[in-house]
Amino acid sequence: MGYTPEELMVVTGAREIKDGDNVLVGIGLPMACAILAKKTHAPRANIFFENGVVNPESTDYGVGLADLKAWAGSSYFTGAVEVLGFMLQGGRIDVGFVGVLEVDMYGNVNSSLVSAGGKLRHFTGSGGGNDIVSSARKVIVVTRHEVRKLPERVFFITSAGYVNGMDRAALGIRGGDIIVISNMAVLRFDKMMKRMTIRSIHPGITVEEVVNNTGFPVELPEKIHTTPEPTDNELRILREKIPKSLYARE
Amino acid sequence: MNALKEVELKLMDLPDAVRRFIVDGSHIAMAGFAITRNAMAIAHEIIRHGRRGLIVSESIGDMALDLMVGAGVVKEVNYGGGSLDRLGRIDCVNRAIVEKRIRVNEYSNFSMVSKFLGGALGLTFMPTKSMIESDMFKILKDRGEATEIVCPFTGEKYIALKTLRPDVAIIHAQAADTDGNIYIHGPKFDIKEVAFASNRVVVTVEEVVPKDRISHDLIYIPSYRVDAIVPRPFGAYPTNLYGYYYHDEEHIRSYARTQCEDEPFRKYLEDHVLGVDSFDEFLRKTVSPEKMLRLIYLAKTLV
Repeated sequence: MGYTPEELMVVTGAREIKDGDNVLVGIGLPMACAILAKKTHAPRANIFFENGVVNPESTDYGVGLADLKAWAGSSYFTGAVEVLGFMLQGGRIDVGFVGVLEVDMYGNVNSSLVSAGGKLRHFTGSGGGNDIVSSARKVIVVTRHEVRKLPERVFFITSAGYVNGMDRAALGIRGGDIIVISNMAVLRFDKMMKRMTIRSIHPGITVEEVVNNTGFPVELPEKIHTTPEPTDNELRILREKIPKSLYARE
Repeated sequence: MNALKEVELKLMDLPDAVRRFIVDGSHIAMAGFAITRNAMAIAHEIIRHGRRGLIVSESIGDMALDLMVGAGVVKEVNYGGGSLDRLGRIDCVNRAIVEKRIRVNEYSNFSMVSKFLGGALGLTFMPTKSMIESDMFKILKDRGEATEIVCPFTGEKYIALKTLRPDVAIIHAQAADTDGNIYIHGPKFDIKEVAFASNRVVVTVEEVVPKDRISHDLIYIPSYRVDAIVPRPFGAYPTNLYGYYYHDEEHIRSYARTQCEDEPFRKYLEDHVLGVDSFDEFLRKTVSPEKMLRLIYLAKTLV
């Protein structure tokens, strides 16, 4: 079955979630990953929003975390201390997803401030993003693969990844490994140098395309894997059960 | 004094609540979130009263915060990022940051929640594992708002945050009962932490219900933590309120389109806040009865 780059991203993100995992997401492609995981291989995963919504099951997730549509069908309403405190800082969020303005070669994330033509612009800021990157046991960054989204160094560190290529635990950060899922590749961070390296390239994408669309010399492993394709079952469930507005570009 | 009398003393209208509890320079805490449960009615009233030099703390910045910043009544903000979800940005806050018009201390969501929680617990600082090595922390450290500490037992690194004891919390809730207890339906976000950190608590409510109409198991802010109750139907409009009304997408988009540019923002403020004499008049001018019913109906289908 054919598929779009976004569909591959959703399936790839969903496969990072294991059955029984606690998953902290926002509205958007990460939410599609979490729902798909629950509807395929991880039925006992739990989905959390930072405002205290747990396990929503809606047909339309609206315009964001504060949309009543995104809360429909929830199993439980609680608050931020429980989700971001007890669950996340308490070490019980297995997978946390974040979107970004920029993510750099050391996995540092910017969702706050950019400089465009010498003019500063401030966007959303952290929200729960820093909390997720700081404390989730596995952090998944979702981004389009463009030079400006993947610079050598982010303009502003909203959330620290491996900072200058340091071990996160040695910096006092409890959060776990960071994985970047783009529309071209899955990227991870080298065990020693903590620099962004290719884990796999999506089918039909060349190494050259990845290199040319990355704002720094991305590390190339000796053997470059291809991202596994979505199965027919995953695609069928994604298309039938998950609103396209969550993951397809407008 | 019996309980009924006490509640009667707490029941008041919006102008009265602002006159009695908010003065120039007050530190206000809010518990809205993007486009849900914003304390819109009271934000309008604060602006109309011409209060100045306010400090506003809110874990996730929302339309009420943005409107107050744009109206020039705020001198300092503590927040953990914010937006109008995909309906737009909070550009008055965003501009205030880059143009350094006012001081904006920027945190993560949970760092802000921790500041309220610590204040509620009577602590002067809270340790957190968020924000380590971030540029937000570097700025906050320079400003004396946060610093690094180590655990005295394990030596583990933490960030210590100054906690918050705001003068007054302003919260919009679904209901109060005739004993003055407050009911919050839907996700709770940081409402309890904000209410218990603040010295005074002013609550606008959709309705006042007889005692025990709603199970007392569901009381979220007990009457002894509440100083003022203002019956204010549609008090979070144009943002949404779980179980009561959906947000007005068209209105919020039109607000976001001003991008806090001088002329369109001034016009918005004049048309909707300064140029009306009450929140009632704002509602009458802004939202037709048909639309109001649609927003109510939609919210009822989403519980």
